[in-house]
Amino acid sequence: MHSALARINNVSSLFSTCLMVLLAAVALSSLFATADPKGKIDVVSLKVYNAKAKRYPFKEQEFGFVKFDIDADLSPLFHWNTKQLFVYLEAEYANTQGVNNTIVLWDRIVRRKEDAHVVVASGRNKYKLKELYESFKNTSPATFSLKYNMMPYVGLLMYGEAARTEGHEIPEARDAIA
Amino acid sequence: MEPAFYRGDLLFLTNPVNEKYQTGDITVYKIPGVEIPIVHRVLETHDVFISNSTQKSKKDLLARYSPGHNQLLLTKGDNNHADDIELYRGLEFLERRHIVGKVRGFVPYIGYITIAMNDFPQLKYAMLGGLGLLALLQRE
Repeated sequence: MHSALARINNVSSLFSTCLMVLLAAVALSSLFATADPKGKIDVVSLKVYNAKAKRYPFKEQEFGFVKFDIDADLSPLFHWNTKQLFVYLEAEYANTQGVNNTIVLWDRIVRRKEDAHVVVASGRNKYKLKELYESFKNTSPATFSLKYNMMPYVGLLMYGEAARTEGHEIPEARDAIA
Repeated sequence: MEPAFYRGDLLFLTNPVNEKYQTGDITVYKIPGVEIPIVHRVLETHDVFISNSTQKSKKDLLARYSPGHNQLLLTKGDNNHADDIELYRGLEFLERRHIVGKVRGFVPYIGYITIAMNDFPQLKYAMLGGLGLLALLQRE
């Protein structure tokens, strides 16, 4: 029973077992790396303008415009099993109907440890801040938070929050006429 | 959803009924009439409660959604510039019933075995034939 086939079979099964054990070890060991870096966000300005809704030619609705500063060093999150970070700024508020809303305003994919110190000066929202009921009138103050999602090479995805602001009153809408 | 996941990666999904989705969660969703499920990240959540009376008034923006506690989701691929509304086939938001699950973990490249077998059926037959042959030859 020492044919070449049996040897190949043994070697390949040993190889795949080792690979599985190694992958499991990497995935499990990264659960113990519990870095919890904190950063800072400042909302410099928050304005609301009436503007044309995108998909409806004659409809107007309110859009929020946010200007913010971010300073967060997320490099402790990079370890042996970190493939990339997804960093995002989220706004959260409740509208008059009591609907709780969370909206991502800005995001960034961080793929290297060298880029993990996220500094944004006077950033603007990349994605539209708009209300389900088209108006921000009488909505609750909005809190902004900087969150991250750590994606591993193998294993479980991790989430965390690096910063959070106080509630910011959403101002009344203005007409965007220059 | 490149650059996080590529073709051939194995994703582990969960879909707990009473857990709400949050922004940043990676969802797998399936739009009615579209064959292939899509893996994209949640960009907006709106936790709505739709009463039966709103169903009647046509004016209500939410009248089209199913009554009860519902969550309206908007998604976006990490590397895309715009949200997924163009992919929704006329829907404005995803509802919970469109969501297949939330990605909790992943293993790279595993899926390439099945992809290879599907893309090259000859490989599948070669492997089956090889196994059969071995079973015949390896009498102990």
